[in-house]
Amino acid sequence: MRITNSMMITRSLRNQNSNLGKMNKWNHDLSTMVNIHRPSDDPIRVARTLRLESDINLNKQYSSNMNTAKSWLEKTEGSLQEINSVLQKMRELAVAGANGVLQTEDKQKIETEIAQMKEHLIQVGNDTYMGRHIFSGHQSDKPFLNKDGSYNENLGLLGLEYQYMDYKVGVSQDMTVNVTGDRVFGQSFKSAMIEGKPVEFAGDSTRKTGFDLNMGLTLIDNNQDPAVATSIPNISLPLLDPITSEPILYDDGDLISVIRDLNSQIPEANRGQVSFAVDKDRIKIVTRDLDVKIDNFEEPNPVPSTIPAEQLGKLGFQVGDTPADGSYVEAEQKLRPMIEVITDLQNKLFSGDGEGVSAILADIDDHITNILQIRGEVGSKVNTIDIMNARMDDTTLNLKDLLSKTRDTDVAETLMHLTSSEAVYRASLAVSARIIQPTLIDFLR
Amino acid sequence: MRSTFAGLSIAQSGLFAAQRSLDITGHNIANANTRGYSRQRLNQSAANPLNIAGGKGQLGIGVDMKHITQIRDEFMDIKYRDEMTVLGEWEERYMALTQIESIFNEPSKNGIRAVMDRFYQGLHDLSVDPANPTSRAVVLQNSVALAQTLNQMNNQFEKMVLDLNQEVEATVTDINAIADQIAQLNKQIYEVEADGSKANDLRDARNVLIDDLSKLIDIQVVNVVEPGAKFSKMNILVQGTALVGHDKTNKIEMIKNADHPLRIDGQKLDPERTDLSTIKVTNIQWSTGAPINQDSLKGTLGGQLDQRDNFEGSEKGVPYYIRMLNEFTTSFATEFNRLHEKGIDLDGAQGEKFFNTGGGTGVINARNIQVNDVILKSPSKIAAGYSSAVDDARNIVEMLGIRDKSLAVNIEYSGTPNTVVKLLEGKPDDILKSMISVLGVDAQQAKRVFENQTLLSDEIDSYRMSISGVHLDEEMSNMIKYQHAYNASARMITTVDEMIDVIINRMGRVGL
Repeated sequence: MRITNSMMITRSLRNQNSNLGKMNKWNHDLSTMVNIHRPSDDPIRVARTLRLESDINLNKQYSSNMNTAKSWLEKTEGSLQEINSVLQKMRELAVAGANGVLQTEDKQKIETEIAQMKEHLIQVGNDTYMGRHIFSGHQSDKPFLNKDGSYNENLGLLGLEYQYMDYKVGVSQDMTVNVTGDRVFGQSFKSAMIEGKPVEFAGDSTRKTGFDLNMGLTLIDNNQDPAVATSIPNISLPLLDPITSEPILYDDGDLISVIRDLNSQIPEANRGQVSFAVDKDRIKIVTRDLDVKIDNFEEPNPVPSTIPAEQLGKLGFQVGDTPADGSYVEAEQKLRPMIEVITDLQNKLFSGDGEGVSAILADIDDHITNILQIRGEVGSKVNTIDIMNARMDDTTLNLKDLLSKTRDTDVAETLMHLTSSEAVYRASLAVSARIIQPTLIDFLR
Repeated sequence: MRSTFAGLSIAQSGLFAAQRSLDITGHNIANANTRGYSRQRLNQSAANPLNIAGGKGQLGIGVDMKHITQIRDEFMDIKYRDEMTVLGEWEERYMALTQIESIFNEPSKNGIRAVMDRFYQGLHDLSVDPANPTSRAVVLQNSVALAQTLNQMNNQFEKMVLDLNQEVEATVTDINAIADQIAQLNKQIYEVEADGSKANDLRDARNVLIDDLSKLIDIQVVNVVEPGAKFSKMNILVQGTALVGHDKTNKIEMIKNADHPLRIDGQKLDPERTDLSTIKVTNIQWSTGAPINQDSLKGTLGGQLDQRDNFEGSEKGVPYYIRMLNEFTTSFATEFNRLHEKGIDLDGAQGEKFFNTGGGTGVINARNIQVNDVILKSPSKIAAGYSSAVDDARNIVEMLGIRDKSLAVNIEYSGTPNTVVKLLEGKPDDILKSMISVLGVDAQQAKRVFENQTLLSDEIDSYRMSISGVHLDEEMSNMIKYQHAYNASARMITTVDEMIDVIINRMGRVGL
């Protein structure tokens, strides 16, 4: 094949350009310490890099949430510890006070001491963490206890124990960090509870479910004589909206919206007496000082053509393990409020009633047991966080390692490449200089 | 019987031939670096000899300068032009995709992925202290950053479409100008060649123009011999219609201010859609009014049109990313708003739309997404919980769940039956990643093909030059050759001159 000068020059230029291009790439890799700069460099590695960076950021966030949760839990544990030691001391004093040998004046001295400890307990009940009251549920700007030890009605005490503060500490892992005052100090009223576990309502984020439910509630106040019954006849979750005839659908797992609709059908006057609440994945009907029964529970199972059968949910209400069968559920009080017990103790000591004081010991023991149980829960959550945090650190380290392997420049290797391509470039320059210059003209006379 | 001065004329023909060859060599050397120049040679053959009577043979009477020809392989030209068309198209594709990569700016600390990460982080921090005004302010700032990033990316894509449109117009103007020049040359060449000679330099000029044209658009060069005519006329066809018909051009006409194809497609879905509604593009047709199939054009023009117009298919361009970004934003914002509206803010009111179109109505997309002004002004309107309690963060936890929700990005065309085109389905992070992966793969391919095509075109051009390029050493040797021939012929003339001198001046002088 015939070769001309311009062909050689063109080829020479082209090669130099390509060598420069390679050196440019090695240079870029070294100065940025990563060897993928654009999606087109290696689409799969870039996709992996994006994923890893997001995951690492997410893990950092979970770690941070875990630390916040731990702080809150440790503060709670501290307060519970306080309450426990106060209760223990109080128990000793009560035992001493039940002693029939002591004089009434001595008994009165003990009563004064207990009064001071009661003030202290009230303060602990209103403990704060970063300015937020730890026992007040969602309304952490309001104290749990009033100065006289009664509970703050502004908190909406019916269903207070279901006001969970959940922190996200992992994928699909929420941790409840708070304990509400009614669990710690006891509920100030009797309460009846009927539980509903929704069926076909599992929390699959792509589904929507409707209900076809009609029920009534009857409340009966046995504290009055004669007993007063109130009836709330029509609480329903219709399948179709009465105005538009479109199906009313809830996101799967969205119990909040379901109880919002149920609660809106309880008349204003009865709202402080009975309420629907959400406890994790269940619905609870809770009352204040009233017995309750479900009337006329209808959950027909039509097969409407508007929605497919598997999109119809059910709320099966039950009492304990047995389904609610229309009989009354009695309101009960599991634990007498602590402050009430202590006030009772004060009175009995003041009046010198040794036997009465003895009887109250059982109530104090109940409270001590309750506090111990809650402390156990909180303590084990703190331990769980420690374990999860350590694991999260390991995982993050692994991810960072993988990220580095995916995109970081190997300095030694790249320097070698750079050096060798420099050598190639110099060689190509030298050769070009040699072949471009001489022509026949130089040799003709 | 030979004429007296026959020897002179034989030598003279040799002299002239050598002279002309030297001239041509000089011309070659002068044009050694002229683009598209094909080296020329003198075709010479022995002149028709005289018959000597009596069967004594034929007497040559010198050299006949037949043609000045150029050495060129026309098949190589056809191959070269085909490859240049492909190169033009992939070059455009490569450059456009590289620019789109810059707009996405991934992987980096400032790309859309990082902005979304910070958005979620803000929500996480808010979920552990929902009443904290600092946390609320941070969430709002991060949301504004997200909205602005989406706005900006969309704007840059729209600007790219406008820039490509301008390039299309420039390319069409170029094509028309080159076509005009070719037509003029066609006329000149035809006139010059009417007597059978070859217009070498004019042909070279025309070949350069056709090379350039072949990169811009896919052409077919056809030489037509009209019935009864001796010489062919050149037509250049595009999609079967003549762009250049001998000395006439059928120009490509631009129709300005047309709607963009993505807008037209969007209108088919829903007349309220605003995809690229403010972007006007220029379409093309023949000046006779006949339509041009823009989809199947190749070359630079075809590449530019693809990148400007195509929103689907294997040659998708900027509009694909505009559509994906907009549909993603719509799905994400709609779902996020729905969750926010389920919550209650610090004042006890139901949550409003978190993202909106900034005063306009209609669908939220990447172009118009904004954080709701009302919420921006009063951070207490972030609906963090399901009650107005200060530590109720239940709705924030729900909203964080959007990260794990599968968003479906679907386009539904109405009609019978309704067709649903599933653009994408997946978690928000995955949708963004998928967009970038598609871009990466397309750009990688475009780069590869472009680089290969460049190499291939260069090789073919090399081969062309090997045939028709000027080699100085060769011309030097030829120059020496012709110089010797000239000297020899000149010497021959001197010899014949002396001979004739003997006859004229020294014969018949006996006795003088």
